[in-house]
Amino acid sequence: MDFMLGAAGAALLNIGLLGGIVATYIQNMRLIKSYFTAGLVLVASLFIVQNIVIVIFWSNLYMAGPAIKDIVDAAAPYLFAINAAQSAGLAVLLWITRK
Amino acid sequence: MNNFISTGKRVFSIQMLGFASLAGLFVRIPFIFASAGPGGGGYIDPRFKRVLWYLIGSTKGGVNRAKIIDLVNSHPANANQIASELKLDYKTVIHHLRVLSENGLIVTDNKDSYGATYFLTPLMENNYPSFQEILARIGKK
Repeated sequence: MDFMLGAAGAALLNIGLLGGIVATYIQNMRLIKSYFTAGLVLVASLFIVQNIVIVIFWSNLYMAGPAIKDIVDAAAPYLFAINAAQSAGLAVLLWITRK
Repeated sequence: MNNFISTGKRVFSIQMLGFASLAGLFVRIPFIFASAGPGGGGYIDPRFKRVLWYLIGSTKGGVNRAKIIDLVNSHPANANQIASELKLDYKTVIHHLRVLSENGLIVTDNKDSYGATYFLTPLMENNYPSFQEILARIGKK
């Protein structure tokens, strides 16, 4: 259960980090119109969609009750690791982008 | 239970592939800078072009960096001259000059000196058409 909340927390953190990244990418796209800048906005936006879906997915599992608790508990560490790795990667990307 | 675990592993392995590609890029970076030296002739290194696009097109203040490169290309200048000609804050210019130097686009004869003059590196000069391509896409806004 702790891993599950951690995974959801990391997904919310990812949405925040991606918000900062997309804001810069949009500013640049408005000044430099190219497939590169538009592509960056698209990719980062899709990552936001991905993390929103993850949060909805996990909240649905959380609401599902004890029937699938074992399954959720078994899967939670894997999803936490994936989301935490993504958080670390996005933090580095945001740092490079704002540097 | 097995379905969930196998799904998790599959997603994780896809992410591992992504990280492996990223790691490969970092391994290649020294070769990127080594392969397009002063003797590079008219060859435009597509890998350098990607670095340039990323440095200008995806970072905060990238447009100001492009303006600085353009100015330094027209005539070597120090931070103070760049700040006054581009009407930018002096500290902002210093920051951009440091980032551009660290990434091998410009170089100075004496970086510790107050009035140090900045020039384009041979790598940047050899790949200047790549930069002009980006510059042409920068709007007036």
